[in-house]
Amino acid sequence: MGRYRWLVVLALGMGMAVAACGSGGGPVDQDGQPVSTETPRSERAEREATIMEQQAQQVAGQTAQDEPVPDTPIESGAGEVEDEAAASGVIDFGHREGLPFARNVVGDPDAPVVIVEYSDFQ
Amino acid sequence: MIEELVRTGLARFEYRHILNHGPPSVAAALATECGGDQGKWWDFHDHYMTTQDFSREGAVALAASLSLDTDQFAQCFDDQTHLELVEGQHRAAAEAGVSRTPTVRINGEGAAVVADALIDQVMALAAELEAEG
Repeated sequence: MGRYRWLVVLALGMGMAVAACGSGGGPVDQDGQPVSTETPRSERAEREATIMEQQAQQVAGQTAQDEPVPDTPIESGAGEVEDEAAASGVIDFGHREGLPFARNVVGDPDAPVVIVEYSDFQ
Repeated sequence: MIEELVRTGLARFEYRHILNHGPPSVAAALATECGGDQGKWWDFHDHYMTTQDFSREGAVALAASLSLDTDQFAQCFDDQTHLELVEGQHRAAAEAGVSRTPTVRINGEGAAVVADALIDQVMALAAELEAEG
């Protein structure tokens, strides 16, 4: 189990980051209606940034030397988008600065681990 | 945290739209995709994480502040050019059992909403991998 300690660290960090993330809406009932209150957006964004900063050092340098999670089929979105070249590049601001992106995807397209966040801006 | 994992090349991060809150959810998703057409997807993403303004005017103002072609942006937004895309993501997520937000999946597995559930998911995966040698 120890050899996968980084996975636990990943889970902790992601869980906290997602919980703090401003992109989440609340849970919904069977009719798709929200049923819970939500943390104010700016507060969540600040918490996310804080958590990212605190935990980045904990993980950096550790993940690269551990074994990757086995690759599995990647979930695909629906719909096609034209002119993808104009929609990709390198992020030039914030905590993602320097990372390659293509629309809603950040990072190496061939990365072995795919983290998908399903969220609602509202 | 996620960004650091992405920087190592170990992971990539993807965002999928869930439209649980009706027109405001759709408006924000459409605006983000229209911003994405001009290379500003993540600018819009981050903006909508810190605002409650989901109006057309707010979206166009953001586009202007990012020096986008506002005519192109407004037409994209008004025409709901990416409605099929965002609704398709929502529909695909629902079909995959995702309804609550935020939900995170790693390599297509699990549906963790809170930290404890995600830890359990990762621990189970770690145990499975170790058992496989």
